[in-house]
Amino acid sequence: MWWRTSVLLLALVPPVGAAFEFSGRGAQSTALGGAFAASIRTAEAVWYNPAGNAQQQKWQAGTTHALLYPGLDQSPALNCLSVTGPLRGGGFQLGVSFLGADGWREEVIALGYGQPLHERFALGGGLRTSAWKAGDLSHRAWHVDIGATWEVGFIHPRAYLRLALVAKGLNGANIAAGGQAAGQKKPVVVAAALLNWAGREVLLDIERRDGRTEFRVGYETRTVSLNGARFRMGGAAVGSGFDERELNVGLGHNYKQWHFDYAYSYPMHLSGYGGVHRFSVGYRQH
Amino acid sequence: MLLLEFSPCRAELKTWVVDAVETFALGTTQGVQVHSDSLVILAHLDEDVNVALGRSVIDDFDKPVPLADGAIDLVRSEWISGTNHVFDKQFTVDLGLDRGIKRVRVLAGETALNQPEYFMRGYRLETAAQVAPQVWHLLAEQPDNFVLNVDTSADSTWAAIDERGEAIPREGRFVRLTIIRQDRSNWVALGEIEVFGVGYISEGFIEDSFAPPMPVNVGQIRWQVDRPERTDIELQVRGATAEGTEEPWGSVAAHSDGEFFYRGDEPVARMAYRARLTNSAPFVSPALKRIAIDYDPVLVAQQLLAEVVASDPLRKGEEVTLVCRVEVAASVDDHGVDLLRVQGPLLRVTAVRVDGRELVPTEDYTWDPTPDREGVLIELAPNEQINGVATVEIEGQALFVRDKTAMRFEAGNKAQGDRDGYVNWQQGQEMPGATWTVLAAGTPLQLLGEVQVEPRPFSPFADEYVRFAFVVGNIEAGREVVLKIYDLTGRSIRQLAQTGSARTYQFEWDGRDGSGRVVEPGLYLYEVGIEGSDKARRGTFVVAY
Repeated sequence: MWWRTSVLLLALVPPVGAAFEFSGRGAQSTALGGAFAASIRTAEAVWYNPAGNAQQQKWQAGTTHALLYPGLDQSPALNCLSVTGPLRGGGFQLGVSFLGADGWREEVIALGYGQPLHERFALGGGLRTSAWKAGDLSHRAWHVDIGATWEVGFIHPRAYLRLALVAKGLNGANIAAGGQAAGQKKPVVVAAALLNWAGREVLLDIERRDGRTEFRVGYETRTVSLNGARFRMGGAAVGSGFDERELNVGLGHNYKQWHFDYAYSYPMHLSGYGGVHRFSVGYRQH
Repeated sequence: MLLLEFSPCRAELKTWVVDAVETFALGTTQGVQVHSDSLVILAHLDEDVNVALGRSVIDDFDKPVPLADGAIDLVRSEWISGTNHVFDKQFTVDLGLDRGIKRVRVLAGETALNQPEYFMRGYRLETAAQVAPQVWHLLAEQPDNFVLNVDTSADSTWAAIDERGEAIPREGRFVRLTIIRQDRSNWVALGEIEVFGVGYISEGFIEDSFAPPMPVNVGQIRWQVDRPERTDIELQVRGATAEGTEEPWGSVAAHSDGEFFYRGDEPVARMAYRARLTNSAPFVSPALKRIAIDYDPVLVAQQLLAEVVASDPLRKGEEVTLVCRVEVAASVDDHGVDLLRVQGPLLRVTAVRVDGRELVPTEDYTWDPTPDREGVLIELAPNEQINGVATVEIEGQALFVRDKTAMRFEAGNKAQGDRDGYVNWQQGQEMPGATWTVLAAGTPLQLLGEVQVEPRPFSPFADEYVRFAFVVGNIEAGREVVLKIYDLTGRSIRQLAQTGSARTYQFEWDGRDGSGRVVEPGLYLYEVGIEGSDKARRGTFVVAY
């Protein structure tokens, strides 16, 4: 039963993120715990893997509004837009994200292009610019990302496997306005897998960041009782002993070319903050 | 001999310095000695002093036995041997602190029939330290004692001697006597257990006073000490006004060299210090090296009389209107008043009046919370400086969280502060018939008001700390007040805690995570709460650099 699998995932898994990387995530990917580096052909892939849309055949666009921690008097808000489409035999992707709070503004613009180099292998590159402003201080940094996907194929008559590898911020850009060493971002490496088992998807991302390892797991299934809606859940864990955990649940529904998604994230050690709500609306070209 | 120190950077301030054998020797001492190398240290124990005298002795039924009172008791410590009450019976002396035990003497008592009967056939003496009270070390054992008549004028028990014939002291707080042998039924009379120690005595003090030629304002007090582990020094300073009113001792416990400011009524006609030295280990002593007390013969004002007017009854946790009324009498010989400080609650100033005339905020005065946020500092514009007689009223909103809040009023002068390096505040005196102690009642909420976060944004490289200030109105004893900091994704960055009581709290965070690294620029979350409670205040703040 799919729900048994879901409960098992909830028990095993946890999620977390970091500055600027918080930006951009839509409801679909968040509901899967952020385990999205091996997910392809969606506009949200721009935030996870430059090669994610290498085989894109149609134009897609999506927008997300997120309300962060409504338990605060002044909750930060996140808005983002992502677009993807075919271009010169490959796939083009663009993402724009804005996060605003009391005294802090940040924006991230991501541009990526992926190209299939083999029927099973695709390679992509991306350029991101992240900027922040607080009081009289502001800074913009540029980041270089690369990513790849490998279609392993059917490993079982009903099981399809895809692997992905992403390296973000290869140039080690510094996000400190004064150039202090503490502001230098170290490269982040993500190894990911997606397993489709009879229409249900299990995703796993293992991220290595600044000496820390983060595990993210997602599960998605289609529920007939909800008229074909997609139910998603995910989690992430980080920290020594993976003591910082996050649970995510979400629901998505397609109506003609439109799709609507909602995700709720709950960092388990941040009780009282109200979690994070995300609402996404997307359009897919026929 | 008094030494007056004239420092070029404090041209107007004078200093009473006590830092040499001859200056310390002028003081009154008890239990300390003035030493040429280490100056003031605890005195050495007199080896003929029985440190058990006056201490408690309990038997193995936890009943007190008069074996350390200096008097050999008739009947009360006497038993008939051959019963269960004698064999293996124990008596434990509690010396209060670990002492260096050099010699123990057990004296025989007297029987009811006043006959010199058997003392004890066999006995064992042991000691245990206060850090391990259940671990007993053997001092001496006499399994067979055939002396029927014990000579009470001589040591009848033990003295540990090394190969050179020197006594070996054993460190311990408890001395235990166990009766281990009996031969036949007879009287046993135990008279007294005496313990003779070596090392330093456990407590002593030195005090002295100084009368300047005229009443003065006492300023900064600086001192130097050596404080080995298991020792402590407490310095107390007090003054007496020209009217002869003597302040109670105000004390500061020393953990290292330090400085603090005098808090009593001023001007002071006579100032005094008292240093109390203590130890909890027999062979170490703290040392007092130097005391320097600044004083200013030029006063801020001749007189500062103040009173507080608050609404009555006053409820804890509710903002009330408070008026501090100060009668200032300054002359041309004084510095004059352009700084005012009210200590006690954090006061949100709404009006300042001088002789009934309301001053214009920003233009005529500015105010800021004190760094500890338990007071307010008001700075008058130069043209509003008070150099004569005036009544100043400071009105504002205040929040009280304690049953009893002792408020204080102080006045200062900016020019004096600039010249001498610090503002030498002159303490105000209570107006006759008035009190500065504010009483409040009620049970307020645990967390009151908003959390003040400053500066915004915070730069770990430009600002030393970001400060989180808030008021806890109600907290159970023993609970901790905790500040937790997370990044925006919820990753725990740092957790700070302070022991709880109802008061204003101020946490300072240096921008570093648990491993000491400065965090990245970004938006961060904070949470302040009380251990064991689900009530908390949460918000965001910015780190930018």
